[in-house]
Amino acid sequence: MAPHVKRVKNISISRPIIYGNTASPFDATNKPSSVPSDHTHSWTVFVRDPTKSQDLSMIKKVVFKLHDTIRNPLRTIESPPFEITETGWGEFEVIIKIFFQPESNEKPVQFYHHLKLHPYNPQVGESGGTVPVGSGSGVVNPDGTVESVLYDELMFNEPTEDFFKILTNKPGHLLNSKKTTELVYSDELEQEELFRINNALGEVQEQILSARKKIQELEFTNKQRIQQQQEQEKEQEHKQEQENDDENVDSE
Amino acid sequence: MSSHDILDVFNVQRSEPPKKKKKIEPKKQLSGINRELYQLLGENTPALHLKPTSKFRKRLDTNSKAAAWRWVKFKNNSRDDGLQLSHWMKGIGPSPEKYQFEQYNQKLKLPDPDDVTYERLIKENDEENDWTCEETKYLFKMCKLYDLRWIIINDRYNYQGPARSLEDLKQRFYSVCQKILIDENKILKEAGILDENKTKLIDALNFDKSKEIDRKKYLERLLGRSPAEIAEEESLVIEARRFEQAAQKMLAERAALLHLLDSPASTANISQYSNSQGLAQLYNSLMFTDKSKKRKQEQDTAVTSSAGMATDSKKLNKKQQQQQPQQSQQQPEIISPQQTTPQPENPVAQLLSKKLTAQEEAAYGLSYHAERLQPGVHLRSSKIASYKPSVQTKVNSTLNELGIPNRPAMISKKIVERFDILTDAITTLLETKKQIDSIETEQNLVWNSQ
Repeated sequence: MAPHVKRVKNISISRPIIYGNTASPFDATNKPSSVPSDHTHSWTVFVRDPTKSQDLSMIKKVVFKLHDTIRNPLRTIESPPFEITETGWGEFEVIIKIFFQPESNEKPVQFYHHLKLHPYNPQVGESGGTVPVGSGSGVVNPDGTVESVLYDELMFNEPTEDFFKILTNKPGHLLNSKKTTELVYSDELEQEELFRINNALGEVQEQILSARKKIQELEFTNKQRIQQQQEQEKEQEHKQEQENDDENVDSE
Repeated sequence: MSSHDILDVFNVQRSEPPKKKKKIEPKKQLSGINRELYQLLGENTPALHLKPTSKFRKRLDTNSKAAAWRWVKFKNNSRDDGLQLSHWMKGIGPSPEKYQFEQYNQKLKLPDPDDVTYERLIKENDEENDWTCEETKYLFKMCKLYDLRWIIINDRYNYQGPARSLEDLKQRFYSVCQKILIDENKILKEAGILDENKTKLIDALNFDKSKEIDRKKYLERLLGRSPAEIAEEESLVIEARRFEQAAQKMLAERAALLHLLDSPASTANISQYSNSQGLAQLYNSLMFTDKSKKRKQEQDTAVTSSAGMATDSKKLNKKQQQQQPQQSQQQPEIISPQQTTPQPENPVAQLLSKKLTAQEEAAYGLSYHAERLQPGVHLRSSKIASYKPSVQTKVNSTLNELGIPNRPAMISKKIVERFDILTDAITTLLETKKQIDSIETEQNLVWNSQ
């Protein structure tokens, strides 16, 4: 085994990434003549680092697999920015495959992104008219572009020592503290999300407690019923015994 | 071997052996192509008897005499204009006196209220006092005219007066009929003749207008259902049936189980096992005794056979050996990482040897874990706890109710940890709810069946 393959045990390093697409519709004024007539949108699909450091040095290349009908559907980007700009008319699933530096000795990571050209339909979800962040649905920016960006983290479990060096060159996990219009993913959003989840958790735990109480009540009533029944049966037995005694007396 | 042979063996003398007369079936004389076909069959007669069926039209039988048809005049007595018509009749013989279709022209025998009976019977205590004698008579006329075809009567009903619905007409007609029939019955009774059918008829004439209107409303509603409603109804019916079946099955199983529990003729009261808690208790106690028995047996065998003990101890040693290296790997790395990395100048070791604060760790996205994890790279979102599809959909719907998206907005470490706790809590909640339901249904079943 080569020396650089030695792994750092019991450690995992996570690096945030965002991936997604932006899309802006053509209109009569800004449509270039080179674009086919049926294409309605110009879109960009990308993989980026949302942190302050903007460091994607651990990535060797990113391969985007576009829809088969697009010319040259397999696009490989060897250096940042990892993005592709194209024109088109339809939404489809983009397969994104991230290859890491050879020092990592890792297999590539593959995932999907649903290309969004059309805004999220607000009639579907009624959470005060706001589009849920991070759901992958299209968000409309003030300038009319549609955006669908997802946050995720790459987890390097027990990286090789060489790769560990690359990963720890700079602190790679520092997010912006506040939400901005360009980048919503920040410590602030994390806190908000945590707050929401904790609230929901409290609610669920309350419901669990009340449900358990109900079970106890049900069991209690059940016991009472059984006791009643037992008493009734005892009475009946008593009666029968008495009757038997009476009969015995008669026969004697 | 036949009886004939047996008798031969025993030398039993017999008078004339009865000769079986072979019935010679007259062979059908086949003709034409059929004969040729049967000859082709030869000796091998088919197992199945095939009857030749002619597929051709029968040839016109020109030899027999033609049937006689006569042109006969007839009168239809159900007509009142005495029209004379003629028709062809087959065969010779006297022409029938009656026209054969006369019998089907039946007229209903309806009571006919005249002024006198109306005054006498109906006028006195008439609940429907907006009816006049004239209109009642008109109604009966219409009924007779259209043979009680109510839809047509209602359609043709044209009387100067208040508007009448179909149910109004029916109610009036039946109530008047009933009164008249009761009166007739009284007279018959006085005369000493009792007609069973008539009393039955009187009972049958009770017409409930409101019920009839309700019935029609129901029918209309039934007809006006949308396909979606029909589908829903059907699915509900199916579900209800399934519930019934499940309940029956459960009762049967319970009965079988109780029977089984009862088989060693226990004197104890069985009713404490009639609910799920009781059963669970019993099950646990039985399991416990079973286990303790097994353990005793194992101990016994270990004591008696030294060979067995040797293998056991070997196994134990092996286990310990396996555990030791694991511990040696884990301990130094967590407590003092310097020991594992051979070169102290290694930057990895340097970084790890520094005591990092929690903030610094977060900045590098570093985390330590004691448990064994598969080395490699993956997305954090792929490690979010997932459940069986059936459970997952329920969890998702509960999340929606709580206003939490199914995929957290940010897949960061803290959020995923909390999110997993949340989904876990939701599953326990769903479990407890299910338990409540089962206890309730069980109780209902048990107490209803007793």
